[in-house]
Amino acid sequence: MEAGASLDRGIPMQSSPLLNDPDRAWCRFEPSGEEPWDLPRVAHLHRRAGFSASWDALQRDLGDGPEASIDRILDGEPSALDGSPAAEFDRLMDALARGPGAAGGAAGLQASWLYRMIHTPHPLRERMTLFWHDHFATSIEKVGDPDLMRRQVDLLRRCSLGSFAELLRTIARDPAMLIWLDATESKRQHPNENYAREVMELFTLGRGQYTERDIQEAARAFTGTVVVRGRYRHDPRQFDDGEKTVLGRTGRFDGDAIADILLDQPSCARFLCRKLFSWFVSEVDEPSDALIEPLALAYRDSDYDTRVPVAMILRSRLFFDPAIRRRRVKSPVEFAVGTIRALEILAPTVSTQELAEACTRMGQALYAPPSVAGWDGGPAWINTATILARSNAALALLDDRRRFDPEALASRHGRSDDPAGFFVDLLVQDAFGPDVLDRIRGSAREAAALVLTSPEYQLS
Amino acid sequence: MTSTIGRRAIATISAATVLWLSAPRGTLASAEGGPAGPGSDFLGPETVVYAELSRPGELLDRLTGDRLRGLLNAIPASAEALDSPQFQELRQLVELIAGRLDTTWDDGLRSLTSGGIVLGVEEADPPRLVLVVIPEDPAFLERAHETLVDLAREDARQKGAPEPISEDNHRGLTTYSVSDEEAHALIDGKLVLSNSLEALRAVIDRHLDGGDRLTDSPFFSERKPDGSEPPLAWAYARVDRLRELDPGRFASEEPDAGAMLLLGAWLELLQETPWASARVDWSEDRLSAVLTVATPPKGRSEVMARFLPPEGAGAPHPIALPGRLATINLWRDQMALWEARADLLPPEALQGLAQLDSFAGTFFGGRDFGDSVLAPLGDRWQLVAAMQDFDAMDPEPALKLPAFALVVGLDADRPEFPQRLRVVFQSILGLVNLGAAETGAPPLMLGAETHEGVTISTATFMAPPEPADDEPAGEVHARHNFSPSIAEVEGRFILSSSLGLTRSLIDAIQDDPEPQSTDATLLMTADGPALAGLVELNRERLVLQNMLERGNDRTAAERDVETLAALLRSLGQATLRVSDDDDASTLSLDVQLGDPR
Repeated sequence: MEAGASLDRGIPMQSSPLLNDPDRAWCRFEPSGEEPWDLPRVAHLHRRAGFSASWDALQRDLGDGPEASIDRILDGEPSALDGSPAAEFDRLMDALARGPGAAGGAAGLQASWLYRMIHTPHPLRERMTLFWHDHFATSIEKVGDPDLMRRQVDLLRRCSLGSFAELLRTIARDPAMLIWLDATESKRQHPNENYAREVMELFTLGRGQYTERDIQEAARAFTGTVVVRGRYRHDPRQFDDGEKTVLGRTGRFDGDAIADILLDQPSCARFLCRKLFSWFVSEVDEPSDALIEPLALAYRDSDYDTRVPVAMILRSRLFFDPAIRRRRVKSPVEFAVGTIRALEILAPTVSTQELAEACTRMGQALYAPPSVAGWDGGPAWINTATILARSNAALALLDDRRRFDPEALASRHGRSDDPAGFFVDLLVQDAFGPDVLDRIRGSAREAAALVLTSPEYQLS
Repeated sequence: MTSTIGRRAIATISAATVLWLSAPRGTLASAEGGPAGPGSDFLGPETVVYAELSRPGELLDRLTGDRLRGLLNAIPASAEALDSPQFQELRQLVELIAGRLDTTWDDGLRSLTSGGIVLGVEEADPPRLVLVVIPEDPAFLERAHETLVDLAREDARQKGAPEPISEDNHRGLTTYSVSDEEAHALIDGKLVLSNSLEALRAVIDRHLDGGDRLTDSPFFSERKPDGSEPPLAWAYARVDRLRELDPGRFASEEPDAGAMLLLGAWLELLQETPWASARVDWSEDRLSAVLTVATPPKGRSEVMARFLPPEGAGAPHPIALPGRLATINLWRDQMALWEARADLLPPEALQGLAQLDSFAGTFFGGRDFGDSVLAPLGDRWQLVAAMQDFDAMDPEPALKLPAFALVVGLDADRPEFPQRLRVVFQSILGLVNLGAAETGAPPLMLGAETHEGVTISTATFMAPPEPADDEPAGEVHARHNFSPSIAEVEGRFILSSSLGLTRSLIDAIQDDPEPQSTDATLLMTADGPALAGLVELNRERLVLQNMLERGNDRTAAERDVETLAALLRSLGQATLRVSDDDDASTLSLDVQLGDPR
């Protein structure tokens, strides 16, 4: 990062006025003379809903308009960036994770997921998988078995834009989760409260929405849970089938019934939608209950179909408000994968084994979140060590002349006469003020380096 | 700096070489003609490095032969390179030059070099490089030289560049220079090239004045191969002089403990040898290379001599067994080295060995590691890698690894020792299982079986549980390649990664219970086609691994794996042998070349 520059330089000072006006905030974004469908808005859509996009993708979506572009984001592209059809790509990536990924332990899993993110035809799905990986944070450091971690992330991916209700019920039987929460043996006589506590505090309701008694009673519903040699088993002899009272409801509940009770709580949808707001809209602004309520209502009404609130956010006027831009710090994975996709470092791309190491140095080791609460995110991504690691990673990409030629990239897109302008438009669009823009000059490589290491580029 | 035309000339020569590789075989003429006089005559006795290519035509035959062309065709990257526009442009340039000489490039180059090529580095300040190329027909050499010079000048004129080649006269001979770092002349029908005009003049002076020559030196003559059947290439270096001239380059760091224990005597030899020579022969289906490193005049040190076998002893012959991939066969008196460890290793390594001594003592009933463990193990060591019968495995691992085994002789006077080894094997597996219980790793199940009257102690991993109906099956873990086992047969101890290989080794050893020793200290073999078979078996896995490691897409990753398989098939049957006597150590590589397709 430029000497003396701070991250604050990139963050807009004013919050969006739409944050105080839920009706206008969540209404559909319609391009107009004052609010045109322009390059900054297209790039913002890709940055937040996927990863930074290539110049061709930006230009295509600029031409196609918001409806078609957002539909494509939600549904995924027909083919991956390596040219293979989406279904074929998914099969190959599954094999990659199942084979050398899992065999390589944490490093192999990280590398295979990064490879998938770089080439994926469905960036939003990978972003949402990452969202759930942070939400249901489970670390291989304790789980130990890479294949269990792979299976958990496969589950998160399958449900990433689907039913949260199904995800919640299934995660209660996920061996990696149960090992992570020391809940591999919950017996009638000694119910293990770990999972019951985390499912309320971290997965559905948030603090203050339940009592210790609710946790103790719910824990009885999760008895009979056993993990043997990496497989979930339900042992009916160890299940407490007595009557339990949880969150004011009484019955002979099992784990699925507890999930239903939690999903019925209005605070559940609100809790999840606050996290989605932070993930897609702003880490800086604390949304009011009134702003969150329409999202939460839509989520509940859809039986917790995650695609519904996500689509509502992505199509909203609030999402495209310029005041919302750069109100998130890019996570290391967003930074690394987005840079590679935008710069079209694809054939070949980088060694994702090395990229995984770089992400770890930047503070994000996939499959190994630091605690049950996931990564702290936001400003916590940035400190003297991680910002140096970001700069080193960016410069390593630029110095890899076998894989990347910035002059050729600018030239390929008809901007050989103005490579500095090209990299500004591709990577940060309207983020720089005139004084900063004046300093972005030199060869294509120099200009790209200045942009990639700027404070503004670290923001989403 | 090399001028444009100089670079072009170099590029042209390189291109010609590459073009031959792609040229239709039928257009090539066989090597004809003999040497027009030894090129070594141009070198002085102060030559410290000497190399000669006695039959360039034969080398061209190999380079343009079906085998190498087949290999290049089997490697997708090389086939693509030959089709690239850059290569085609180069090819056109080469054809232009050949056209001006009324020949084809392969005929032309054969004619220019058929008498041989000699390269020497003479002791001088700065060191003098001398390259001598002997043509079949001196007149053709003159014409080729004139054509290239004309082309260079024509090219410079067209580009408005300065004169690319300067001419001078030294004692009636015309000298040419394309840069300060190159000068050449045509002398007695040979091309003589040096690394400066001054150096070239010194060579000319010596030649005209009848000065001392390298060929007059008995030291050189005694080491040069017999002239009746010279190798394809031969090289020689006065290592003692080089060490004296450039001590910094030869000052090696203290080898680490591992390197010292594996290569001790040979490392010492490389540091102290007075001279070394190498020869290369390459026939249609065989490639061989021999490196000879002379023993220093004072002989080997007493400690290092312990690495080498006494007269009549040597590494065992490789064990013949089905599916063999590679072997390492070594004569090594580990007990003698253990006794000399204080002279061989640094203090920190000795500390590690002390821990090993203590650790081994725990398993061997508190005994001394050297006397009670190494001494009964004898001095004939073999490491074998072999293909496994994967079809017979249940479960069949996704990543298919070869089996490995260590085979070592046992002291017949220590009959209790094999039993002790069996106890140690079981103790270690017990410890492994304890660790597995703590970490949740799958345990090993101990077992025993009798094969051809020999008891095998073995262990296998528990099969993974069946996945639930709604659960996609994961890959069978690579651990299922392993079923560690031990056996004692015909006075030899087998420690193997796989039960199947243990059985095969028992069969092989019973078939040949008293194998003869070789005269080598170390003998290694590799079966290229069998290794290629292993690559093919793991092709999909290697492709996926390549994608992660190198960032390739699937197509590029497949290309890399195909290249690896083609190279291994070409390797054929390779043998590397190191033998040691009082005068020298000799490393010989012999490759019975295979078919890359």
